Amino acid sequence: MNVRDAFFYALCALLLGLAVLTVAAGNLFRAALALLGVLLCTAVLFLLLQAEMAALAQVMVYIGGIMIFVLYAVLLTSELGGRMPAPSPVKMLLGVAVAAVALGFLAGLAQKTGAGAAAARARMHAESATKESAASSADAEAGVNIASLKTLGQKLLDPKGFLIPFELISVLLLAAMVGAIAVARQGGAGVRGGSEPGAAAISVKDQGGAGAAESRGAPP
Amino acid sequence: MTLAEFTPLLPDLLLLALALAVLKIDLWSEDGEAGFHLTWIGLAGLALLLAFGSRSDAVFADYHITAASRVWKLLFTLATLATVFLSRPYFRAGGNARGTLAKSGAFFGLLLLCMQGMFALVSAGNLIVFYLGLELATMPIYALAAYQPRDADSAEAGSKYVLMGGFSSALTLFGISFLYGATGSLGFPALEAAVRAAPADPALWGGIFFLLGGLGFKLAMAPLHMWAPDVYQGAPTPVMAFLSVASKAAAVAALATLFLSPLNAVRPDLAPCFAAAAVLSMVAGNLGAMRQKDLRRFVAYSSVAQVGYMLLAMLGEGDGSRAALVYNLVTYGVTGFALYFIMGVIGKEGPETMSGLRGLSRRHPGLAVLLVLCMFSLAGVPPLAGFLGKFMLFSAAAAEGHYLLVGIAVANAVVSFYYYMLVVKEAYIAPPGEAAAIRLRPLQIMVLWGLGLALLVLGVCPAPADWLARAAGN
Amino acid sequence: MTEYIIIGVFALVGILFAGAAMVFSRLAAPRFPDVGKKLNSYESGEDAIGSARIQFKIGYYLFALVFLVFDVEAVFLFPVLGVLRSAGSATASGSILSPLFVWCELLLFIAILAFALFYAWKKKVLEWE
Repeated sequence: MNVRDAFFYALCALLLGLAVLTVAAGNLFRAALALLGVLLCTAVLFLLLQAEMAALAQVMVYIGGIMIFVLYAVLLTSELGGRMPAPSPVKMLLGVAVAAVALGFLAGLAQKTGAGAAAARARMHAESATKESAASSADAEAGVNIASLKTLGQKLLDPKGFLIPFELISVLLLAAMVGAIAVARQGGAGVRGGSEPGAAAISVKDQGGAGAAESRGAPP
Repeated sequence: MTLAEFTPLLPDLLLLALALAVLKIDLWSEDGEAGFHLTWIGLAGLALLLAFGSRSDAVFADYHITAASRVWKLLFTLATLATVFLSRPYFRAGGNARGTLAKSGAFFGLLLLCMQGMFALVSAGNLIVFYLGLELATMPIYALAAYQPRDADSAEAGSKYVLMGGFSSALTLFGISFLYGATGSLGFPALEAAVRAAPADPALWGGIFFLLGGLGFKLAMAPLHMWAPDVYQGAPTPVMAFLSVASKAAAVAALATLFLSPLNAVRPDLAPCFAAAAVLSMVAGNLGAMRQKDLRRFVAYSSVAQVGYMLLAMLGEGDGSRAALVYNLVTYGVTGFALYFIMGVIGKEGPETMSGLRGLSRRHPGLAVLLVLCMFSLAGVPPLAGFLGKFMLFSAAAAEGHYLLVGIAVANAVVSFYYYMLVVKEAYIAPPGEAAAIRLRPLQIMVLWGLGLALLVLGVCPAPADWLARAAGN
Repeated sequence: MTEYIIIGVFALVGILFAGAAMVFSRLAAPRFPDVGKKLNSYESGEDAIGSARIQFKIGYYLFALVFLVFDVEAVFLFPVLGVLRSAGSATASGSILSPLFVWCELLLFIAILAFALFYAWKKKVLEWE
């Protein structure tokens, strides 16, 4: 085991511990802080995989943006100090069962992929004659990191790459903002006063916008 | 890259410009009149451009402008246009008993941005554009569902739709990541080749499973339909109309975009899955609709049942299925907007519930006749529009030998006749209250005649269906 | 990769430095915890009023949203701006782009988001009451 592997396993152990803490913490605020740690560990994991863009998005959008949002959401709730009621044993068992099934599926998949990946990849590239995959396989052969900031930047500007998704993202962000403003400032009365009937909805709504944004953070 | 290569993108770019212009106007004038007129004129122009404009196809790497995508776009444009007109009285003081909506500028802007997402969805040539389109087609509706000011139901609808939408987006994205892992590519052509080469790859099936889950939520396909009644009931009526016609059409289009082209090779293996979802949706929708007193909830359950019928088309072969889906969505849209028009009229003074329909035959016989046409069309009674739509769906499934399934669907259609008649019974037989006669303005009477004629013509005359089949097929 | 290792080492040293300072002060300082107001939270010399865990104003939320929108924009601008100067040359897929075209692409992206900011500004989201 070299240094890199040791670091990887230590990181994963930390990540898993924080993830357990996120779901097990009785206090919502602590759960949010633990989640922040999970996201940071994931960012480092992305760096280990040389996925610079994903790491950048993780740090800027998730840790810098989404977590601020989550913390605001927690601070906006009035039941902040209180401990959350523990879930019923049946629900916990059910959750563990679902997690176990998911783990089994993913583990099986990982094993299978590890064995047959090379053969499948070779077969596929032979069959798909499209320019795009030919280019990316050429990149892979030339040792170009397809997830580096530079390659990604070029692809974002290239009409044969990700130009249209790039422009769509700005429209999506505009829509998120217009929607949030329209709902949060309803009826012209402004956003003050947490006791408005719409107030509960506002907090959830904006989180939804954030949720949408977070899934946009990491293009492949 | 020259400028001429971008001309097929003109409708999409014009739509973006229109959305920005409407939002810009919203900043100047608070009353929203200018925004309304700009929106409907722009949408009408866009519809003309899509119907009669350039026929040239263009395939960029990730954005495909084809005849089929133009038909879908025309459908979305018309549905949005109808929503814009429907929403008009809801923004006027006294236009609706539930309360007046505010901020019409942002409302129209959000509708247009939503439509932009739908446009991207049907033109998607890779999974990233597909996902972004799906997201853009959903996100503005989160805000629109909560548009009724100071209304707890509307706030609940918004938050429910956010949670469900966020969850289904996450599922979809998870599925897409599996597909990328299985095939090593995001582009549809490469995806298609990879699916052909290794159709039994477990990663591929994991991806398809999650994708279907995510799209099932958007589609309100049973057993993932639980959110629909609450959201439909809480949202303002124009938003419910948009959800049940345009947004539903977008979800169906998403399903068709993926499973009728790049993933076509696995569709025979998925047949039991689609069949089960279809039967569940029909049964859940029909059983749910029987017990409803609120018209918006009623529409929700009835649309779940309609999704069940539409899923039958996923069992047929490609081109016929796409034509059947488009035609069914057109007829469902016309029927739906006829019903929402009636709801808008009765909603001016009373609640939009079953009891609000009471005595409609005396208050305005024309409206009552339109209601009967609507219900017959939804039930699939010949010679109305809904019949031909259902017939096309059933024959698409029957052509591939799914006779049992078609039998179940026909039985469900017969059962649904019962509760559609309950609505008619309210309008004709239930004892009327002391409600006064309804007076329609000349424009409204024209709309009434137009919708009624459309319901008949779309059912009797096969020319529109033929045209759609030809246009959507290739 | 090396530059990230350097960052990692810096982060580690930073954590150790702060941690060590806390541990040493804890070991070295005399402790009489039960005397007077020592257990009160420090509020610049004032007596603390109420709990720290209060409900925040909803107004923070819109600010956070506007921030998030531009945060996401910045993430996408990073890779693009990095290659803007060289984007006129051949790209990964082999297509040659004119510099003017690249500028137009970038301008459209930024213009739409600038409009979003303008919209928020005109709708008085940026004002604090």
